[in-house]
Amino acid sequence: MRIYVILLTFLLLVTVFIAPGWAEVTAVKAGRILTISGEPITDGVILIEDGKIADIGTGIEIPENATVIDAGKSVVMPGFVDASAVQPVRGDLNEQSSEITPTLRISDALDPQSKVIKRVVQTGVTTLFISPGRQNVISGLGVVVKPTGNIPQQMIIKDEAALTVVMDMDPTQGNRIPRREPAVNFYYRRPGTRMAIIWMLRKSFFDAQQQADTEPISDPNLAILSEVLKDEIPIHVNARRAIVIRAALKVADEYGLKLIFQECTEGYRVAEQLAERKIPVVLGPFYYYPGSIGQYREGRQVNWNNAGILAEVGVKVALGSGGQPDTIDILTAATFAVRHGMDRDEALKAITITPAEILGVAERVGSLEKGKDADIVVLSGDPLDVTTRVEKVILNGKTVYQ
Amino acid sequence: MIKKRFLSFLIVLSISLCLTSFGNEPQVIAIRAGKIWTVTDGVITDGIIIVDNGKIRAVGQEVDVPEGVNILDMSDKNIIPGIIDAHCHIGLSLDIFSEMDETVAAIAADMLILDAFNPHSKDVKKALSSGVTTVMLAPGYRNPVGGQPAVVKLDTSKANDWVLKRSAGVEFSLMNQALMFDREPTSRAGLIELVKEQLNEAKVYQEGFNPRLEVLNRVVDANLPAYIWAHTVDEIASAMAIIDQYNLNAVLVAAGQGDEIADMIAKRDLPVIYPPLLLSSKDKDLKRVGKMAGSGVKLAFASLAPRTDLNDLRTSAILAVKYGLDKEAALKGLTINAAEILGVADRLGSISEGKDADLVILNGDPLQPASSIEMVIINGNIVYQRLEE
Repeated sequence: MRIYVILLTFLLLVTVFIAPGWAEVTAVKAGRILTISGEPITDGVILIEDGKIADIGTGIEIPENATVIDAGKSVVMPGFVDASAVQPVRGDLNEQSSEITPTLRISDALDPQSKVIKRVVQTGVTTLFISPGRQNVISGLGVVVKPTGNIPQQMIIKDEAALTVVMDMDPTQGNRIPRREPAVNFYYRRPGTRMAIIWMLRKSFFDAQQQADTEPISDPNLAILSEVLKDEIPIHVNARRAIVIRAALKVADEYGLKLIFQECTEGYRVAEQLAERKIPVVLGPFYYYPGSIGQYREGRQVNWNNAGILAEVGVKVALGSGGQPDTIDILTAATFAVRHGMDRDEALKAITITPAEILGVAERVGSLEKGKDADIVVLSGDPLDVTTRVEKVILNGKTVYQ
Repeated sequence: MIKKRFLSFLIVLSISLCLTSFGNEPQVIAIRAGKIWTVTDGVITDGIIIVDNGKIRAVGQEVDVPEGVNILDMSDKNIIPGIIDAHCHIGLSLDIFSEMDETVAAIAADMLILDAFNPHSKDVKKALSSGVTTVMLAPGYRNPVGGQPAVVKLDTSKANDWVLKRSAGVEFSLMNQALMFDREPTSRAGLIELVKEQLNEAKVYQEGFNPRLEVLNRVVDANLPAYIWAHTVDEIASAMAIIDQYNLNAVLVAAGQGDEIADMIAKRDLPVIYPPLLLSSKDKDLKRVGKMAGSGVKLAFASLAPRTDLNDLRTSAILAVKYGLDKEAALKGLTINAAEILGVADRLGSISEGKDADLVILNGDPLQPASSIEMVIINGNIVYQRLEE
């Protein structure tokens, strides 16, 4: 009996003194917590354990061994999710040898040592979608990553997240049509026109459809496309002008594709149609490319009121930096969208939970809830004030920027 | 009496002439050395090496010297095994960039670099003078699959026998330098995809006449080693992903930033062929070798000549020691490690019984920059001797 008592006491002591020491506990005290998923919390505490949010709310008892991050005067938000992000990738983003490269995985080209990573973290972004370049008709498979880790595999949270399709004139760039001159390299090819872009896209899906019943599909390109046809991989369509968006909708109807629009600068012209089909859009970059010339400049203008109009008719809108964190970062994009008519709450959702839902990672990131990843941004003030700056970024429970 | 002396003098003279100038006739010689760096068996002071028919018959402090044998007296010298350059491009052409990579086709698995090698090139003499007795001739890094490297000994004055391995494996490159603007691949993602696609095809290859796939098929089965160029952390990481996926018997080439993920390299037992350390390199980069070897990665040095000077091979080891590499590991990196990586350790890489008599004789400690190479012996023949001024 006695020995049991001693043993029990010992076990109790072990659990009290040692067990909490195993898990690293961090507590973030904040003046105001914008959870996004629920009501804002004033003077709350977020408890972080093993990189996840263990508890959130007011009046939470902070364990003694916890590391306390005091952000008592600051506003705390979930880490931003950039669904049209800058690419921490080495080398060319575009595989130029072919226009149809669905098997291309941009995750193979990730560079964790990229300087862009540091810049991305500074703007408060903790989850980003990286897509292949925008000069192929079907560019390849994108990946959702966190800007952390030593090797690419540690960054990835969702590989093969989406297939990138480009429907603007960009894929025609550099292509020449062989007439009298001999075709000396692979740039002598289609597409040279908008109709050829749409033709190529349609043909690829047609070929995949023809092969859909064969098992297994020998051509790896068609294998990926048939997965897309089965709605296992979503499609991110790069389309800026209304005419291009309409064409994309037409192709989508023909093959029953599930689309997500990227860039979409003239989305306001087809807002009703997008709302009707429940197609989400990712807007950005909000930056005019001075370098673009001629036909490649089309639809590059910045329409700030686009986000507000689309959101008002019920389109799911996400805002992104569009690969331009040095000019317009994601928080500034939200600020300007509000200034031009977007609802405040909608704008905050558009940089957190909405892109997370679009990318299919909402169960891990996008809001501050129990059990989600501890990706937290500490801001100096109201997020939608231009004078506000990012004070601290916590990624998987670890401070990565201060 | 006088006649007899004269006769014996003549005999000695002729033998020594045979040894030094012609050196073709197989015979027994004994080399007395101040210090023998056996590499695998420690250092022997005041030892003797008996060379019989191009092979080392005996080595040690107390070795019986057979009667009537020539004795090469090197009692104030240091002897190390012939240095092995684990990766270089010597003797390929004057215009190295055109001869190393068949860049028209990205996948050139069936090409043999030995076909392009000129055994009478000036580079060969230069290599000998820097103590290099065996090299791996390799294709360059501008093709995702560059071809098959070869292992050769540099006593190329003889008609044959100097090719140890016609095909030592297959050369891959996952570096950004393998990208081109006018042929596939043009992007990193495309590069990885292309290599994986080729290996996928090779995996299911059965029979037929496709030399490219036949070679790659042997790589996938881990019969043939894969030499993979990967320099930065992301390149090494993607190399490791491919190695794991296809179960390759792989060697990393030029893993310059490998120290940052050294534990992962060591866990997979991946040997590394390290690029030359130059006097002009940054301190930070010079420290990387020591760190990587400290984590248990097997290292061999390479000169990548003629991109860099062949003399840099020993200089690399010396610099690595200066910046934290273990002295023993540095010497192994020049000899036995390289031999093991190239699969010729049964014949080369150390001074021990039964191995080829490839020896380098220096006038001082091999890892001191001031000591210079006096004589180089391959298969018991003197192939280089420093001229006295």
